[in-house]
Amino acid sequence: MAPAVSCANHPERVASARCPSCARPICNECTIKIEGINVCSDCLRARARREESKRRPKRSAGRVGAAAAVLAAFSGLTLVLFLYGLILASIL
Amino acid sequence: MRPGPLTVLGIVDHSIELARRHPRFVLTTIVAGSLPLALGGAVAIHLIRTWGPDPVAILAGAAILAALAVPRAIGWGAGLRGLQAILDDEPVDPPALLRQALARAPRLYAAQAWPFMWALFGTLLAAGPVVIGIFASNPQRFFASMGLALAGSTAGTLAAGFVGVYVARRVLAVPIAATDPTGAGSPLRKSAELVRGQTPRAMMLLTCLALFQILVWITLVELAPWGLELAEMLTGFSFLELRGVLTFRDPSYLAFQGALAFLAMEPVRCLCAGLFHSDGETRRGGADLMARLRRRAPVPAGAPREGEAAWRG
Repeated sequence: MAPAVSCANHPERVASARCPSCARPICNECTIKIEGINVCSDCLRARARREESKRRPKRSAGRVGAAAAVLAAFSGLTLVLFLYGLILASIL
Repeated sequence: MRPGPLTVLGIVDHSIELARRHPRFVLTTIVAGSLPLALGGAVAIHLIRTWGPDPVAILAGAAILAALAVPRAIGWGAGLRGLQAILDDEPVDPPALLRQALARAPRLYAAQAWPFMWALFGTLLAAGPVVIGIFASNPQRFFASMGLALAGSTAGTLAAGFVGVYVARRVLAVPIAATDPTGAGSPLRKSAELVRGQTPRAMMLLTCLALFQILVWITLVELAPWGLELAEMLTGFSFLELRGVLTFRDPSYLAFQGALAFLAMEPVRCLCAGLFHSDGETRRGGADLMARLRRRAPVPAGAPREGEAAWRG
């Protein structure tokens, strides 16, 4: 019979699983189930950080998109009003 | 209190009633925001008339007018947030509403200026071929000229239809930009998705508002000459010179009355957009509730289940 492996975070406790990401033994308390997989809290934190960094460029892209939308609306409106002005100038 | 599902005329009616009940809020947000654009437009027409056609000046004026649409968007944003507060029976604080709208100014501007630009461009697209067709038609060569006239009117009608559908589906863009969380995606795209099943209603609402605007404008244009005539009859004074200026033949007078009519209709337009948004939510909520009730309705004991009746004969 293999000796009981203790949890990486709680040496006094017996590990109940192994984190599929870092392969460290973890106890029940340290296990967090996410998308059907048991992971340790450190890996989950690292994953959250990665997700956050992935999201950041999107936010700046959103700002660029919003600025482009404002610019497009302003120039389009100016152009159409200019056309109206030219037509009115030829009529009046 | 939020009203139940409303018809198109019900929305217009309700918005007029709300504007009448909250004059201070409407004047300090929606009307104050739209004032620069309305006056700017009228002054621009007057200057074009007096200065003549100078393309550079016209382009500069067009850019200024496009910039004057920013306070209008902020005023609408404040008005729509205020409408939400009124519908939720919460207190309305115009300065706070204006500050909240100012924080969303770029989003509000893009959501309002883009459909506004298409509405103006659509009018040109629709009117251009029709005018060409009218000028091309010749009663003496009726059948020869009829083709171009017909083609022109068809092209104009098609352009008006396409642009009408496009603009109608963006009618909720400003309410969405004013009330939704800021990072929730493009208000124009979301509006197109939300209006999908209600495009005819949205088009009818815009048509009603446009007709109403024309009626208000004609009334205002005719009001001054009538008033002067009445004053002449009552007082015996002659206002001949003033009557010569305040006439529908004077483009500047028409432009300034147009600006007044535009300002008078702004609260109705803004509140109608907000109420159309809220009405859509009510209808969607009602439809969802009905579907949930149907799913959860208990089947009486012994009654055939759905699809079972035919099997039983």
